[in-house]
Amino acid sequence: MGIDEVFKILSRGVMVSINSQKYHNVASFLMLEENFDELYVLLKKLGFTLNGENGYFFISKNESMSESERNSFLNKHKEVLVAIAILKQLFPYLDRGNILKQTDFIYSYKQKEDTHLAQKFEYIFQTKDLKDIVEKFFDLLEKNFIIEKKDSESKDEYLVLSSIEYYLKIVQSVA
Amino acid sequence: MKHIDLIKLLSRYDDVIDRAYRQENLYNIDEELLDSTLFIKINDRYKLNKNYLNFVDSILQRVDFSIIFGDYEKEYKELVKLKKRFLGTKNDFYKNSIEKLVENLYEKFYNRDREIQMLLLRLENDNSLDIDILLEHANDTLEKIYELIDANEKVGYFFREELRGVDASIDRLLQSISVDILKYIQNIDAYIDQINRFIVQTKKRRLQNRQILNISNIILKEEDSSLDEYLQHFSQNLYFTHNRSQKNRIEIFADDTDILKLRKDVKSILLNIDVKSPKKEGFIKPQICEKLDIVNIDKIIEDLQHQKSDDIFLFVKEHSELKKFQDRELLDESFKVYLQLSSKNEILFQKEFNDYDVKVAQWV
Repeated sequence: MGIDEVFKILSRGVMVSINSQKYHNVASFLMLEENFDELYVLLKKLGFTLNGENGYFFISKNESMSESERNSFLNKHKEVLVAIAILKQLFPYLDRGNILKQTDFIYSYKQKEDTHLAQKFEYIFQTKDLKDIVEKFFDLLEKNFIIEKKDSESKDEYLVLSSIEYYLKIVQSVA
Repeated sequence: MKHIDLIKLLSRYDDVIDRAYRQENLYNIDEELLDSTLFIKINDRYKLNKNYLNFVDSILQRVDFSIIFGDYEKEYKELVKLKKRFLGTKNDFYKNSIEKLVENLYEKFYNRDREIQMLLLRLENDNSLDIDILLEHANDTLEKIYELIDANEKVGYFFREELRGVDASIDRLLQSISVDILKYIQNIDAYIDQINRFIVQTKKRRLQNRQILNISNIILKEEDSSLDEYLQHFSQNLYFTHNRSQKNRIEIFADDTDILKLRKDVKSILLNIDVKSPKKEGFIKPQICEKLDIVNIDKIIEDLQHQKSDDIFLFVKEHSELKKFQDRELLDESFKVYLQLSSKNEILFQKEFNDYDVKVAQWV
């Protein structure tokens, strides 16, 4: 894995985690200080910042955002924060490296029968219907690199990635 | 009853004993089990004798949070008394009693060390309990371990300083266990450190969970200006600042002025556009018949209502509607149907998983 390949992946907007099976090579490459520094300097010249801490890496833009860009930026953060709150409400011990199962999710959701949970789902998906939201919910988390399928064969098991720490850090800073 | 008879009894009734061990309510058992005192009757229910449960839990390394460690005070007092009597009479009976008691104490040290290890392992891996309750258990465990420090030191000192030199065979016994006893006493400090770390981490997790629930409530109520401010202030180092693309290039949103310009251009084009009404054609395109592999879920639900099922995933997998699928595709399609059915009110999830690693769900 070279700096060009790492750049290609990060420039697509991927947040890579050190415990990701898919992007483990990228994260391992960036864990080496000289590699990180080299890409950091390169991206700075292009107007971007390479961010990396707590086992995850991503690119951010230095230029100020337009209004539509800012709205998208804020809404996406809020959506994921509410999604993580749902996860933490159903699985209080959930942490990076844990395995999350869709079937456990449905089971726990049905056990809770909580109106606060339903409100959170409604905020993200505009529906409370469990049938519609389960797949969408896991898709949302997967698309935002919070979880990834444990293996391509399994439709049920997902690995919780280190990038969850990014959102927990925001929570800690704002609280 | 001889020991071998007891083993045979356990083997004969393995099923009922196992059900009782797994907390199943039993209202009727064979008289033989009651006579053996393996079972006792409490309020119409037959329960396994606590002594048997303690033995099994100890062998299977299962420790309950309510375990009481206690001290070694009774054994200590007995040892002091026996030592005095042995020195006064030199009777081997007292010497043998001392050796037996020392061995008992050694076993207690050994079991206690194992029990603490199991308890800490359970604390660190028990995800089923509410965090507040788990923290209470952790604090209780810490208190119990603290109480052991003095008791351990007292017995350790007695073995080293008071019992040495009383008799050569007692010395040999003490020598053979001294290293382990010292290890068990020193382990206590490590356990206290471990449990303190666990309490700190769990409290941090509890705080973090409360904070994220709080933030989500703020977002839902649209009272999230402080979050907006934070995100905007640190945006240069935050995610979602550039638009995601599947192509290998960095994309940014169009500037507001660009959008305005574009809107003006589109408007002017639309104003000058001349739309001619389309000519009517008499030709009707024939409809193409397309074969779709659609599973009739209503049929499956109807069959489930008639036949019920103890494992819906297996029921779906075997259903005639999925006969057209095979191997991996069959499992994938069955799982899709299973997920769709999971929202139905008739579904009752069980705790266990089936051979396909799918949570067992019943149709009731």
